[in-house]
Amino acid sequence: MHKVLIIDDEDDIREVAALSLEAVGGWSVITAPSGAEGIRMAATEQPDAILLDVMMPEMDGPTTFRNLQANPATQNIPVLLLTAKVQGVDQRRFASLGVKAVLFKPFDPLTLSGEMAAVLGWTE
Amino acid sequence: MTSPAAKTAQLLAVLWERNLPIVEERLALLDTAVSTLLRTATLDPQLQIDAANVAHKLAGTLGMFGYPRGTDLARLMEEVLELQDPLSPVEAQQLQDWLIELKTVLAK
Repeated sequence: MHKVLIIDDEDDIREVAALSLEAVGGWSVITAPSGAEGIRMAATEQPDAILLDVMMPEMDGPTTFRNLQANPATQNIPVLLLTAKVQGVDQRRFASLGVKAVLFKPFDPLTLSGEMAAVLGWTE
Repeated sequence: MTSPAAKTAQLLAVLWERNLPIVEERLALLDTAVSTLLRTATLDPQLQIDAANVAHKLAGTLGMFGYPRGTDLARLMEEVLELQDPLSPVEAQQLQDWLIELKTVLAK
């Protein structure tokens, strides 16, 4: 079973994403409410993928991603950014970071796991 | 047996109910910002930033609970509230109209 780490400061997003990935995707989900906590959990829990929010207080998504990349224990974990920014300039900036994909809020809870699986090449 | 989609829909409804106080809090902040703007023709910079932030959060969440029009309206509000120049009376009125529609959409 795949294990996904969701890093988002908003409770409702974490809850709905977790519900979606567990109930529809059938995956195991762990969550973190901040970039710092997410980095710690990624190193200890070794998830198969990370769903990372862009806009968070203190440590935002891009900074969290750079920290994950700088750590040999987490640098190979694929990261999918999650953003509510729809402008092209933002999308290009996020994509240029080197993340696996940029997904958009609001996501459809019934299709989120399918979108992630397609990006990650998870077929079963 | 309940399908994953049906189970997800049921749990989403529960989560929506649980998160309603947060949504109402965000709408109240937008209310404060828009009514202040209409009344005084100015907006404290911090209140404008806070209002843009809650509009952003609403835009990112309402659609996943089945309110795509709510996301559209919140996104329109976010774009105006993120403008650097002082907001005009026309923009203030637009914000008011979108906020009223947003509340109507969410009340259904």
